[in-house]
Amino acid sequence: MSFFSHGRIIFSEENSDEEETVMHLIKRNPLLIGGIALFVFGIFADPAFLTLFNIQNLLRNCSILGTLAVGVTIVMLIREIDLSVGSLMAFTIILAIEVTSKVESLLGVVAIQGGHYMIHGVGFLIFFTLLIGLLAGLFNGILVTKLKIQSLITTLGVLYAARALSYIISGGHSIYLTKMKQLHWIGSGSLLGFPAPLIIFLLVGGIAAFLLKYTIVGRRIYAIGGNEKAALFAGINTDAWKLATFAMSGFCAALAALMYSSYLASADPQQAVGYELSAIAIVVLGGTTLEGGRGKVSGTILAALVIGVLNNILELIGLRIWYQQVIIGCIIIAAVMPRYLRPKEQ
Amino acid sequence: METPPLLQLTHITKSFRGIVALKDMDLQLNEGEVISLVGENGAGKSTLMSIIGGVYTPEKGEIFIKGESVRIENPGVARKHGIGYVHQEPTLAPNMTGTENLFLGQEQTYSWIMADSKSMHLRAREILEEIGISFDPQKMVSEMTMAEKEAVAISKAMLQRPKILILDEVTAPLDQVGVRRLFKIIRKLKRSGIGIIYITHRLRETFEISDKIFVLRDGKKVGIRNPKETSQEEIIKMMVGEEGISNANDDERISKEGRELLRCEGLSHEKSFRNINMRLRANEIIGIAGLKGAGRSRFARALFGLLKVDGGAIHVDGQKVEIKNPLQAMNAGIGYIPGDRQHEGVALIRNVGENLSITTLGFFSYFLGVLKLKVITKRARQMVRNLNVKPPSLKKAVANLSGGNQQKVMIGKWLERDLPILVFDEPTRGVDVKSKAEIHRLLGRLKNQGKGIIVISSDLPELISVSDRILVMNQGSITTECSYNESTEEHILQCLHVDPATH
Amino acid sequence: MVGSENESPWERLKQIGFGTNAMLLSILIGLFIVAGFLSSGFLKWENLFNIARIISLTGIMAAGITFVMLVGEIDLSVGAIMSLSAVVGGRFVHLGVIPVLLITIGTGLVLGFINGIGVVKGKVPSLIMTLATLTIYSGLANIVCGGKAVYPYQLPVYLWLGNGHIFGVPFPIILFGAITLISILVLNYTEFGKWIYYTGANRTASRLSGGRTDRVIITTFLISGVLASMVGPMISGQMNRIWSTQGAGYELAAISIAVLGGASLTGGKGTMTGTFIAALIFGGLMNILNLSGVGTYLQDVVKGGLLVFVVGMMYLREDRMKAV
Repeated sequence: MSFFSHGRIIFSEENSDEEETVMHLIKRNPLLIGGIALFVFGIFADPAFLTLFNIQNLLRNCSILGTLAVGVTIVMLIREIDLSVGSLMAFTIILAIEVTSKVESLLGVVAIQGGHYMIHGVGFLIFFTLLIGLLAGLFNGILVTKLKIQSLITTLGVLYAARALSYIISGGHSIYLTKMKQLHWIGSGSLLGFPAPLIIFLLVGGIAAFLLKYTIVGRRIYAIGGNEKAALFAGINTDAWKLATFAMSGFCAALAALMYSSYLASADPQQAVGYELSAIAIVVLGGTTLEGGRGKVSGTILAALVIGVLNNILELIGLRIWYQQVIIGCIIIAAVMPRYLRPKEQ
Repeated sequence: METPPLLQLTHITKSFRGIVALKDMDLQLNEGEVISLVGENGAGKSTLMSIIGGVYTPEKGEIFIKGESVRIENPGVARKHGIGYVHQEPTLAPNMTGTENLFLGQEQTYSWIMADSKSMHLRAREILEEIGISFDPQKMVSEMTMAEKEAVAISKAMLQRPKILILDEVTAPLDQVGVRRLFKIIRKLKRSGIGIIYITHRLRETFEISDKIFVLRDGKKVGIRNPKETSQEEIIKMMVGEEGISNANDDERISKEGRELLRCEGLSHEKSFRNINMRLRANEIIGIAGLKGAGRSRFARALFGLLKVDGGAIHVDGQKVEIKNPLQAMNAGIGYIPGDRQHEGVALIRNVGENLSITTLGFFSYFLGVLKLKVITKRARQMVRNLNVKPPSLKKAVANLSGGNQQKVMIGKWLERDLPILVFDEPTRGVDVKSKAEIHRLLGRLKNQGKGIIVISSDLPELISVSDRILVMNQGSITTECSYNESTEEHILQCLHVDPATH
Repeated sequence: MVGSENESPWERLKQIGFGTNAMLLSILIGLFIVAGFLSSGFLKWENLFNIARIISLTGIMAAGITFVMLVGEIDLSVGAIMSLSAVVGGRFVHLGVIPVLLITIGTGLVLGFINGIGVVKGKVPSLIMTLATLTIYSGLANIVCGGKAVYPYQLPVYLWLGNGHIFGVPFPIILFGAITLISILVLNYTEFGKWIYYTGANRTASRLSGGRTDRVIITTFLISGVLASMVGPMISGQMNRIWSTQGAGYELAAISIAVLGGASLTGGKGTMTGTFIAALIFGGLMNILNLSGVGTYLQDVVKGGLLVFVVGMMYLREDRMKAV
């Protein structure tokens, strides 16, 4: 065998090996590959895409939805659903504003000046928002576990009620938070160039992912989602765990509320309408199933980023939001279909 | 001083919504003892065990473990008291590995919440070896065979070194090999002083493995017998409360086989079965025996269009047919009564009448699908009478019937259609003794009406008593055919292991 | 103690007769009596017809959703179907009433069909499928009409559909009543109806019994789409315009009514009568609140509360496992 032919043989072997691996890679990580492809597309699609400003914007937006989605992921893993997160994104902060100003007046701090709420206690606000988020989540959980009402119905009802209460409490109009300088960082700030929301999002997602994979928490949740009966017989307190997941979901919604309102410097009773659907879409796209017990937070994080990139590109290209809706809807269907189409042997 | 028994239950009473499930029940279990609990469906066996396992709490009565009075409020408490419970149909989470399931609720941790996967994995392997089954416990439960799942379930119960072990119908999903293995484990556990309560519908097993047989009927204790001093007939009499019912329909055996109804030539399906050749005649019952995974059910489902065959042909009444879905199978004259009654056989929340008539709606309707309700109701009532379904109400939800009656409804659904070829997959699984006998007699009647019947069953005595001949499948091929005279249990047991490759 | 082995107070109530249509009817009558006392204007014909006119719209959609829920699926896209089919029809206003109505309903049929195909052939869970089509159809609705409303002056019939009446009874409630009646007949007296219940109760058993489950499920989505699209013209008649978001928000109310009426999320259980009565209860309740001067927002709170508490009381989680 001459060196030349030997060289050729090696080369062609390498080539075919490479092709095989690439196909495998695509098949096994469609979301990741799709995301990267999308990103590359974005670079060519619009010059404004790869600017720092745009990337920061992109990341900021998807972090808010992403945080919401992390909470929903945990609930779906345990085979429940939480439709109330969008409404909670408004409700938690609006109620918190009200509570904070009441608490402040109790403590004798000046609350209103010049027609706008002037809440000095940023710390109070953050604390109460998160607390209300937790309690709202617990409320969902109690209805589901103690009153045994299906989560679809429970959270649907809370979706209605929380949204309505937001209107009532706020009097129907936005509350301006422009005076709260310290709050701005959560939504608008950044650390080393990374937008604050992104850091919070990755932090929350990271903690959730860690808990689910390496600790007992994960085992409990996956078990209850996989076979609730098995979990019960293993002595697990399924009700308590369900309560906890709903509380976590409420907490994430509250976190998202803080990020959103901080960035826009206002709390609007109409904010985040429909966000629960987007959150569910992200969760499903990220690989978590409705049946519970299957899925990863890492998938959700990835999906949030991909959707974020997609939305961003669509906006940059100038496609109105209507076209965005259509495209995202189609992508969800396209993404979910192959999963369930796997030929099942009876 | 006498050592107190390992477990003692006194005056246990339990009702559900006003219906008394257990009345004044007494039970005593000693160390190293195996007690078999037998009784018809609804007699209260599982309820009693659930009380010991902490799933239910009794209204009256006391539980003593080693002489100490205890209260078992939930499965966790039961486990702490050294009670291990292996449920009917292993309750495992399919989305987790064997190891994870094994340690569910009793995980080994460090730093309080961190799961110590490595040491759990090691321990899992250890326990599996003790039991005598070796496979990788890191497999996903959803990919495990029934035997492997059983192994995980048993290991799970054994993890905390229980002193009392409850085995609830653990042999139901097992084949002969699995049962032998299980009995080996039970005897080993006995020797180490563990007390075992063993629930089963298979009386022969109780005679083989237990020290005492405890009979329940209608929530009350009927009696305890030593297997060496009693007989199956006596036990059945105690369970049923009347003359023992003969299991066989030998007296009705008229082997006057008719024309060929079904013929399979070289039927194959990639992963399930290969080159199946068989012939079914009218007035004939063919039994198919085999170990779990031999391909019997899959063959049956292929006949019914649930599996796509990739080779061979099916002939019905001499003509080749294409069967791609259940509707085509039914039109060809083939009916399939599945083994999983609850999930595939009946719609539990619908009532008896609806379930019975669903297969024949098309035949009793006017134009546009409007139903001839009077006719349909009449037929359903007739079927309920014929099959002796209790209670004989058409409006009762099937979920509220006992297992045996549910089975009858499922069978009745298919009888309505009056198909010439019927395939029964485990026709008496989870069915009480009386209904079982009724179903066997029914099979005989159907045969004499001219139908061709295939029965798949893991219950060899049942298969032998019902079939005219028996085909044995192993690893996807038919390895032996036993005529009526050759069909003894020993012979068939041997045939079960015949390697198709050497055939 | 594990699972629901002991009687919960809800189950005891259920035994008395809670959770049946009789119960719903009692609530309805009770509601109307109380309302009559609270507000003098409630029991006047004009007001009652008003209730009927408004709630029938959601009620017809709820009827469609009931069919889908009976087979164990769900349809979140009904509001969007209504919007999209309405604006598609709106593009052809110049063709005259009959063509427009045909196009509108035809669109509803197609949109419902897409839902059905996705769920049955694509095997996408209906929650996700209809969530996706919800967004797609909403987006398309805007694209089709360019964000602009159409004013159907050429279609006086539309006005009649929304506001007209036969012998004094508003057309919408007549239509709703007729649809309910036909649905009851179909569900209880035809083969198709029996298959719907059986498929919803146990899809696998249905398939094994020779049922054409795929066709049954797709047909329910077709029905849901068609019924949703029927509501469009009536709303356009009442509001004097065809616009792209006219259906927004209806899906939640429609599902609430269906669930209140007894349709189970897991399938196989529910009646059209229940949906009908539940719609009336819903409508009556909203009306009382209106008359009492309760703001629309508080009404939403009540809607939410009603949904959660009353439904939870009447209908236990059927898929809640019972311990061994």
